[in-house]
Amino acid sequence: MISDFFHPNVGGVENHIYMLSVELLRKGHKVIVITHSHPPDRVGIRWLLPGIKVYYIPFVTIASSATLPNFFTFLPYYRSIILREGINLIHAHASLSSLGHEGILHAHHFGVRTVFTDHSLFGFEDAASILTNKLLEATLSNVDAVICVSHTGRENTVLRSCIPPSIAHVIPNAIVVDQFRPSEDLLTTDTINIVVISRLAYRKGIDLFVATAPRICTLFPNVKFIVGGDGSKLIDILQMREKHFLQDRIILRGPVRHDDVRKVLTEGSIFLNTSLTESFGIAILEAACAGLYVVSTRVGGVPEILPEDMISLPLPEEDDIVRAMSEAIRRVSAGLHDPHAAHARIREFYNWKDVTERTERVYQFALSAPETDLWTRIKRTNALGRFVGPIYVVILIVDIFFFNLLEWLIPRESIDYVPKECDWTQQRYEQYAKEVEDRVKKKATS
Amino acid sequence: MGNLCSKPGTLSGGHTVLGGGQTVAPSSPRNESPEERRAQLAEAARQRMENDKNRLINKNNPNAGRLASQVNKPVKHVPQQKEPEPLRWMSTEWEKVLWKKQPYPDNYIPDSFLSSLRRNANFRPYTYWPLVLAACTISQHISSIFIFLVTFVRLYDESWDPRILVWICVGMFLLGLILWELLERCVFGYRIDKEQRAKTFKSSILVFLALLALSPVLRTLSASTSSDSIWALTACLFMLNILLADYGPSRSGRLGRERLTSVLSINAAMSASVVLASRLRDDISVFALMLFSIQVFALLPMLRTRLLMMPSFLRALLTVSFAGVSIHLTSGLSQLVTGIQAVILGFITFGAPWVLVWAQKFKNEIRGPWDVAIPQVR
Repeated sequence: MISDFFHPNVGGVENHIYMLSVELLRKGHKVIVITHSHPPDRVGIRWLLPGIKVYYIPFVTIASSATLPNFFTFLPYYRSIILREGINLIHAHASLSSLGHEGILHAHHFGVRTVFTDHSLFGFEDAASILTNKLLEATLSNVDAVICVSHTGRENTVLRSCIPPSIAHVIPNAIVVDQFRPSEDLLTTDTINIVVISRLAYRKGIDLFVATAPRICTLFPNVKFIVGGDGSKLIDILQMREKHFLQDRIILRGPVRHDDVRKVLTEGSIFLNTSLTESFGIAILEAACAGLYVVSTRVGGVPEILPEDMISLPLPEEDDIVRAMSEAIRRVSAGLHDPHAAHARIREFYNWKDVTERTERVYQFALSAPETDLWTRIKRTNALGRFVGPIYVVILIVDIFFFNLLEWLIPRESIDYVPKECDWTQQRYEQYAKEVEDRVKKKATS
Repeated sequence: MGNLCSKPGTLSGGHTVLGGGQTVAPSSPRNESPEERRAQLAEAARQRMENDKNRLINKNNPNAGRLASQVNKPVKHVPQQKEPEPLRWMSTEWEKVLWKKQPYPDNYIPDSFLSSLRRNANFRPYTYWPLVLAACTISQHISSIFIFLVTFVRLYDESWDPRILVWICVGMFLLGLILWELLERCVFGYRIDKEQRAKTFKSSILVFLALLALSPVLRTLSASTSSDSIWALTACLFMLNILLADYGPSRSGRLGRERLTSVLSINAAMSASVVLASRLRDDISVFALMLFSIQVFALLPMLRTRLLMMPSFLRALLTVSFAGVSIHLTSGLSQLVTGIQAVILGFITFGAPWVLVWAQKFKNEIRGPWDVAIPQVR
């Protein structure tokens, strides 16, 4: 697993990588994670429970935890890690993670197979998208398999990176269902709490929320909003609250830690999501799992994640959201939505075990793919474009020279290989946990 | 066959297997173990997937154009059937949902793949003549810059009397004011009251006197700077002015808030005139040039946004007269510059719109459900 985005940061991608690693480890695979370091203290090699080895490589980050695309500087670390750990498959995550891109570029020198997971959607219009799309296209021109988190995301990735659609797989995200149980005591139906938890940013459609919340409050005097999250649009919500005298009906909770999300969610019975773009929408799934009825704008991959009777999908327009919210409030106050039934259904739909099995199948697919020789890779890279093609060919060739230089400077015989028995496996972990427990018990009895 | 016979394990039942193979495989119920059946089903599914793919290629759907081109590209490797077990439900229709467990492989390409892709959805093709008319505004602006430059050169070599220029400026100001009032009254239906008119006169007299007082200072402002630097600086500033100027019609009837770029544009032009004026010899020339520059770069653009509301015939006529005057004035100075000027004006008015119309055929705007939605708030 390679990505710029990993623990100690928190977020959808970070969580995805961690959960997938845990499940793969449980299935008896060996998993290591490579990410950039977080000075001053999170550097070097760390172990995360239950036995995931994490390499924190010293790289400087530029913005929101992403590193600059260096193309070469990662190779010395990378080569040593791949060789000493005996890796046969690289799984890079997130299209803005240049560490992941670099990992895919180098992997082919070792004959290591590559899988890439794309977690987000991009447009084709603005300059930033055009540049990152080209970067992605260059990386993915030689990748063995791609995983996308939704069907919409797959269409988007195939268009952006011009890969043959047959190597793009759709595997949704999953959640730990037990972390999002609905509350046991039934909520009263005379006040209906609507929960909004999101980053308060333009892309999350906070403008729509600001426009609709006062209208819903006037329509239904028994409705309260609970808003969790922080961001640049907080000020808009504050202004709206003051303008319409809704201080007691729109409660701002500030940033919510991931552990506390369930607590906030179970206070309400309707979850409102006004995102303008969403690849998968894990927040929606968490809310639905906690037994909330979901109202979300019909954008990106959102319509795919839940059956139609668990979610309302208004268009991203003020009037339509008010209409859908009114319906949802009537539905919930009539007691037509059963939180526990919803929870049980989500339990059937999504779990990490299933996701891991499907990912394993993609790994098999990538491993069984015929290896591309250098000449094919050069040709593919050159076909990227009239200007970009030759640039990337130069990068590729320099990379190969650099790789061979390293082969000569640090010969493979001089590398310390990790012995097999040094790795944590599920059994070893369980055994150790048991031993520790016994020891603690013994101490307690003596 | 040779290697089949060479294996001792399969030799015993070799001929029966072979016989079954020559006829159709599924019709041998005797030795059909669950595994074999599964394998056959897997083969059928693979075939089905191949067919699906071919159908996708052949389908003449304009939306699938890009996809088809990708499928036609050499696929890196043949997708493998990895889920042979649930084939019994293969008849169920594929749905674009994630919550349902579907009996299709994860890399299954449905018929509806990329069907929501829209290309050039909001595309309105430009036509030639409206573009030419729109480009007229740019030509007018460039012509006025040339007129200003000629005026400067004439004052610099002292072949024009600055006093006459001052009177021309005053005349132009009055003419512009009358035109402005006429437009306000006829086109927009506003009426300028006396108080406001008095204000306008007061402020214009103030500017007039301030310029007069400042002209000795402006004359010696950059005395220590070499003339070459001044010419280069002026060229850059005028380029900036042309690039940033506001060529659109005024958005509201009344003077709205100016855009930042148009303010920058006016500033660039004024700075250019100040540094040029500092090359002149006497105060009255400096004063005349500054007055003229205010007319051309500050007041004329304001009037121009209003003039864009006029019928297209008058706009074309105005452009022709502007271009004519500027070319006529330049021709008295240098044949070469006149030629360059004519080429520039011709290209901007007639060539550039043609290039834009031609370039439209490369337009390929991709839209789909992944785009950031535009929130509609009342």
